[in-house]
Amino acid sequence: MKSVLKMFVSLLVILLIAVPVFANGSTEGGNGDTKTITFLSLSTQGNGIKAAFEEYQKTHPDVELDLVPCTTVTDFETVMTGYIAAGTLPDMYLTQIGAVQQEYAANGYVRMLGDTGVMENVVPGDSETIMYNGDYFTFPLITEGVAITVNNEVIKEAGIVLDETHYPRCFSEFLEMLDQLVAAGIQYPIAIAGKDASSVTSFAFQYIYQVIYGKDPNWYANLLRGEHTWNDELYLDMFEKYGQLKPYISPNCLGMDQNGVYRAVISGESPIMFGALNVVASIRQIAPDLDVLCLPSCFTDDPADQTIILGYGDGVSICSTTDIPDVCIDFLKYLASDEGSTIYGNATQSILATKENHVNSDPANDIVTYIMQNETLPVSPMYSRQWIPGVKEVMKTAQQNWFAGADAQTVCDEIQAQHDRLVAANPDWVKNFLDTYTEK
Amino acid sequence: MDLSKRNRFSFSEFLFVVPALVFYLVFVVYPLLGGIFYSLTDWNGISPGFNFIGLDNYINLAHDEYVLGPLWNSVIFAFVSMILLNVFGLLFAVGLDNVAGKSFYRALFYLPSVLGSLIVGYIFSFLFTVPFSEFGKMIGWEALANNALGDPDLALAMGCFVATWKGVGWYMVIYIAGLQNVDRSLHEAAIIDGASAWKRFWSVTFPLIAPAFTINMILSVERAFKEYDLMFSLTGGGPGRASELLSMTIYNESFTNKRAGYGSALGVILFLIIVAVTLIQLAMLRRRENDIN
Repeated sequence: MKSVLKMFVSLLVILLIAVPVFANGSTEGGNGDTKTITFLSLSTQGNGIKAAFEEYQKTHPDVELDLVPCTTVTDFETVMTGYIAAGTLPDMYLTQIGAVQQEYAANGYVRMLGDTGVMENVVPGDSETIMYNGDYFTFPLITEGVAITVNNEVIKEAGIVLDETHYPRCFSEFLEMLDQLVAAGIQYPIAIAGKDASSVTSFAFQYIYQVIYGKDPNWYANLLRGEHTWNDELYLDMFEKYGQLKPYISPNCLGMDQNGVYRAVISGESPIMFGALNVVASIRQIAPDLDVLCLPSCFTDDPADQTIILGYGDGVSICSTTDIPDVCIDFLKYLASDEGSTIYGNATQSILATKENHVNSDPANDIVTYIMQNETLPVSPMYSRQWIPGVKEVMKTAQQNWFAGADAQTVCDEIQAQHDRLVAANPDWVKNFLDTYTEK
Repeated sequence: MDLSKRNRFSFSEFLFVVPALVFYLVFVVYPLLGGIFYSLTDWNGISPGFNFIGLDNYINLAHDEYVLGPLWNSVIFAFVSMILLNVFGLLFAVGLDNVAGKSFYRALFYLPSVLGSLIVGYIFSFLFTVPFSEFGKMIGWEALANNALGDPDLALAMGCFVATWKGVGWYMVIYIAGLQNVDRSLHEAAIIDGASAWKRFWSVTFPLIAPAFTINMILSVERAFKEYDLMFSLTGGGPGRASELLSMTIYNESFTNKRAGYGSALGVILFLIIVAVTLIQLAMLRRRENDIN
């Protein structure tokens, strides 16, 4: 009797554990009509998706949203690798447009959007970045750029006026502005997060987009063909410029993270930072009323060569494996609409890539928006989004070593060696890139 | 002996083990085999297809400087952490044994162990950036004033320091458990024989807490080799690659550089290193325990 009881208890324990583990994970409602969109998204944009969906759901009560946030693009790609390995992709996703997303399209993971009609509401831009094999693999929701972000309150106190027609036009004017800030008592006007890959490489990337691509519009393709190297004069000059900025950057920058940069900019300790336009949204979360301004990059020698660096930012894609393609397309159409994109844009404070929207643009973007609308500066696309995976990490390591005291030549040699390593490991990627490359 | 009855009981007992066994097979054995499988391929983590390349990944990593640097960092981190965690864990356990309010102090020292590594990393990242930096300026220590986490010569050492701060309480508890098994009469006898405090510790206490010492030595090394999140949040592996551990290289290779096959091979190597170090430690420390007994 005792042993039977023991057997019964043990079986019960197994059942109790097995039921939740092997239970159907479906979130369908009791009547079976509810459809759930599993949506993988960058967490910075999650609020926008959520806000738009809440409005969408008012007219589509049978649709639910299961939002899966990822902190960074690398996190997103890591999660996607897990999904791919498991053979179960989400229904939709939103992430930074780039080479990896193009590979998702090449491998058939996304449903092409050309037949949905949503692309008609996209502002003109570098469509190469959102296309594969002649069709669109993602809907670009926002226009992203890299720029110089400043705490304008501190700038004003130093007697500097910045507006749509007054901003540094070239590198020497930027140095003048820095000198004015130093004269006003700001010891280190530039804040850089040495620990953060985006922050520590931002100047280098802006320099590449604006100056190096200005000299050779096919620079990276030519680099892959062996016509340029990371340790030739063209790239070494970047360090010469960055070196001129070093005295304006705090010596403790290597230990600083992005939060430290926000603290320095908001407090006015270091009122200037380099980064994507979307850093404004992060600053707003901490200091909603701060007078912040984004300025176009100004790293060319001649003011006539100045450009504004812009491109499609984050895009929404529908996975080819979804069981509810019609629901996903319908929600995407709503996101692409005036109403949906406006809700999304207001929640994320982004510059939208949709033609029709009524977003209350953040005043921090006034200068950038003015330049875009009046086309007062030519646009430099963000080519790095098409680079071989791993480049940013290589650049981060190199920049950190340079800040730690290594000389520019050694650092550039190291970048070249690491880039060669990536190229050797991904010959198919290089071949595909060069085969499909359109000369500029 | 009634074998049929014994087998029946064994089967019941086995049933109790089944849930744990299922979890172990699904979440440990299956991923481990999956990792070994992918380590023999050139999978990039994106494509549905891949090629079997045999042992190429293992052959390549043997002379890959990109891997050997972090491997060396991991060895240093594991060795230094092991020493610091055990020395201070034992020191706190013994030191707090006869102190008034010892329960309070034990709880205080144990508290950091329950915090998540990421949280501890971010807290110390802030501490190094602001208060420690201010303190460094005050006392004129430039390395601290300029944020020690940003110094290539100090970043790994600071990682060891923070790992010790976080983990020492856990090791202290294991030593406390060991100390409670030491017969007090042995100490009393040693006192009567005129043994000094150090002599009593070295000749009576330390040999008798050998099992706790064995557990702590093995676990501290094994955990240090697997450390990822603390160093990620503290230094991100930088500056440069000065504090990058092998676990971080595995992540970078697999997901950033899109070399999932190569990253898996690195994971298998890390697994083998941990197994080898653990077996060596076990053999040495068990022999020591037997010698004492």
